This record gives sequence, structure tokens and C-alpha cells, in this order.
Amino acid sequence: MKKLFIDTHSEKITIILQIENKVFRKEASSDRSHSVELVPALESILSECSVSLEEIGEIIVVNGPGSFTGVRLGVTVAKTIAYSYDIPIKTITSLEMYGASSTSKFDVVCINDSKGVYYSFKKDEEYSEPYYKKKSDFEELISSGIYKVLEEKEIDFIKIDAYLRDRLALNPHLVNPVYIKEIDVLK
Amino acid sequence: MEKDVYILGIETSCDETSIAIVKNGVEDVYTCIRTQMETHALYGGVVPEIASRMHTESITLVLEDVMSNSKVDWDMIDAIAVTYAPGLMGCLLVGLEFAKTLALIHKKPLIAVNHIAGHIYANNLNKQIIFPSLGLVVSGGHTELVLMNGDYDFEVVGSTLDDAIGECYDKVARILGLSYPGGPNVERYALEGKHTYDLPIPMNDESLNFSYSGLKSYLINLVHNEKQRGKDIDKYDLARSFQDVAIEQLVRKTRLAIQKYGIKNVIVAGGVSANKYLRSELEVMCKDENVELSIPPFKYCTDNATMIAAAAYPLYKEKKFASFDLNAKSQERYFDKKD
Repeated sequence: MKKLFIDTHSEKITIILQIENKVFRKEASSDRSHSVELVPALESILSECSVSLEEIGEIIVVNGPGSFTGVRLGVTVAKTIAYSYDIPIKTITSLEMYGASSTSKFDVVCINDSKGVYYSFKKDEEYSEPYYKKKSDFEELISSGIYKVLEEKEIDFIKIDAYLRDRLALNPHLVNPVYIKEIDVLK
Repeated sequence: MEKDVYILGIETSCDETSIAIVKNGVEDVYTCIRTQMETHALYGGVVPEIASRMHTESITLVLEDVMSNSKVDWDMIDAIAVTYAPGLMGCLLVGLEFAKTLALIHKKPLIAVNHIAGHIYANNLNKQIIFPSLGLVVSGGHTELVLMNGDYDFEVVGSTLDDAIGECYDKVARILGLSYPGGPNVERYALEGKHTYDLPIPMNDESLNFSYSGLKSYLINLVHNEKQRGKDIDKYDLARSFQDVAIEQLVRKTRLAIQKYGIKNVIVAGGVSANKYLRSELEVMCKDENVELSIPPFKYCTDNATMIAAAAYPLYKEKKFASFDLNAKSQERYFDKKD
């Protein structure tokens, strides 16, 4: 089975193609424009591996939180492929992705943006829904020392795939980003 | 006989998610438009982040509607066209990535279309543009008179020195306290009012340029002064007085350009071409000048993907295809020469 993984939540775009037991990886720096890099990166990993999109058996896409625009573009590309070829598609949050990729022990996984921190709690092998706090408020939360925060930010596809084993595939029309942070006009 | 060309167009530059299939640049085979107007009306204007989110939510559903109801299959489609500029950045990007992905999947050439060029080529869906033509481009960001000597051969001969007419309508709507969408509401009020306010006539000269900011400032002052005197503004009459002056400027300058360049064909493009008073005044003037007037039907005056697919056709003929590293641009003028 061939699987396609797309992560665009940060400035680094990661596309992974798994062909049976082999994992191929393409990274591109978005330099603030995911649009210029994303489809060319996808096209080049497919051609390097001599794989066509219709051979893909499953798509995994990171649906946020992170860069609003970045996530939106990754999700748009992934759902369009899934819809076009009727390929099962699963979503994973950026926080679950980092958590699942790690072997160390931790209670909280987080990522920063310019003003604050997105975070999820981990209990046993489950993750809470993502939350968002201002940087100072997040620091206060973890200052007690009862929560161990995951430091490393790795993307390990084999572990991610194993973590998602029991997750149900979605109707591609219903695959959408999770934004968490409220936009000003709605406050 | 030449083979028919089918182009799939995609438009997401503002608050409509639209996909259409157009045959040979002139025939609307099928169009789907999903508008977000009701959502943005809650906030008094288009909220870019919400608009971008809604495009991502709708885009594959709109495609499904087109592919299941158009009786056109992917084998028949020759190219994929998409609006890449101008517009709201986040919104343009959703359509652009969607278009690139479809082009990659179905191995079709990608065509980058300027949104305003789309409005101009909407005329081809009505009656093919005859060159040379004089175009009156009127929208929220544009007020221009442009000579068209051929496809994508634009020469601007007059333009606004400050605000665009659509922008001015929206500001007047705010001055009068009318809700979103402002422009069409000013028009609705004007229909029921009388020309009772004495407003200055902007750019009352022989040039082909326009100006709308002075008119807007005059209205702000007028409303303010009347309030100070404890007098009520008649919104209907003020809307009518404003519209008469605003539209008269467009018609007068178009007439001057017709005379100056000896033009026989006039086309109108852009969102403001949906204004009924503008349409009827232009008809009267063009009849008087004995020139042909073409205005797109109402449904192609507001944003739609049909016009994008129509505008892509001359580019398809010239094999002007875009690569996958194409980026969106929030501002790019349709008349700038590029290659």
C-alpha cells in the first residue's frame, strides 16, 4: 500500500510518501509562501518515486493548528486528491503528530505562534483537543512543574501511521482545518 | 473543423466560490456559484479570514456539482483556469492550490487569469468582443477607459485619479447608514428618491480621467452639516442625487472617448456594470453616438468562474500556460504587459 502524508502547518512543508515499507520524504521551506512550494514539492516526490496519485491508498493530512494559510493549503490539496480518486483520508493535528513521533515521556505537547501557544495534554496514549493561550499564560500553566513538556519536534511517519491505525477515514468534503484561535471579528 | 475547447474555470478571489465550464471561450456549459454573502452581511463586509475558510469548506462540493451536472467529463476538459490576482490573498490561494492540484491530477495545463480581465471577457459570453473596442471598467477597485485593439491588448486612456466608483458607492452607503452590500443598496435607495441635492460635478473637463473622492467628501460634509443644524437627511433623495452625478461622469467620459478615438464598439466590465441606471444611461448615449454597446448579463457582472474560463480561452490559444510555482497576488493590474 502507498500512503501520502502532507504537513503544512509551519514554515517547513513536509511531504512523505510511503511505498510498502519504504519511506520517502520531501521538505521545502515555505519562506512565507506555501503556495509556491507545495504542489511543486508534491509533483517532484511523485516523479522521483515514479508513483502516480491514483496509486495512493491512503492520505494523511495535518489539519492544524498552525499557520492558518499554510494549513488551509495543505488541507485543500489533500482533500482535492482524496475526492478526485476516492482515496481514504485521515486527519491528525500538528500536536498529535509531534507527540506520536516522540518516544520520550511527556504530559503536554505545544507549538508557538507569534503571540501564543497551542497545546494538547497527553494522557495514556490519548491527546486532548488543542487549546490556545497567550505565551505568559501558558508559561504560568507549566511553571508549577507538574507537566512535562515535549521538547523535540520530530516527524516520524512510521510512528504517526501506527498512532492513526484505528482512526476512521473521513468524507473528503468534510476535511477542514482546525483553527482553535478565534479571529478578531468573532470576539 | 477545429476541435471544441472546454476550459474549467475557478474563481475564489473574494466571497464567491465558483467553478464553471466554458466551451470555446463563449458558451457557458455549466456554472456553479456558492456565495458567502449572507455570512459576511453579519459583519457588515467581507471578512477575509472567514471567506478563506469558507472557500476551503465549499470547493470540492462545488466541483462535485459541476462534474455531476455538466455532462462534461475530465477527458473532454482541455485546461484549468484560475483567478490568481487581484483579490483577497487568503481566498485567491485556496482556488490557486485547488487548481494546481486538479491540473496535476488530470494532467491538464494551468492558465492564470486576472480577475478584471475576467470581467472584461464576460462580454464574450454575451456577444463576442469586436476589436477595436472601448472598455469601461467599473468595479470596487477600478474605474478606467481602456482601448482594446486585440486580445489582452489593453491601452488605458483614462482612469480615476483617486477612488474607484464601486469604492465610492460603498463609502456613500456607510455615510447614509445603509447595510452591506453597500453599492447595490445605494442603487435601491436611489430608485425611490428624487434629485433634490445640489452636488458638485467632478472632473467637469475634456480629459478622460475620473474622480470620486471630492464627491464623497462633499457628501460627508453635507450630512455632517445637516446633522449640526438638527435637520434630517433624506436618504433616498441623497442616494439619487449622488447616483445621478456619479453615473453621469462615467457616461460623459465614455462619450468623450468614443468621439476622440472614433470607436464603434463599447463594452462594459466589472461589478458596477450590474447597476441598472448605468446600463440604461449608457444605452441612451451609445444609441445617440451610433455605437454598439455590450454589457454582460447580470449573472456575469458579479463574481463568477464562467468569465474566468472565458478569459482563459485566448491564453489557451496562445499556449500561455502557468507553472505550479505560480503565486497569488493581491494586486496586479490587468493592463500591465507581462511575459
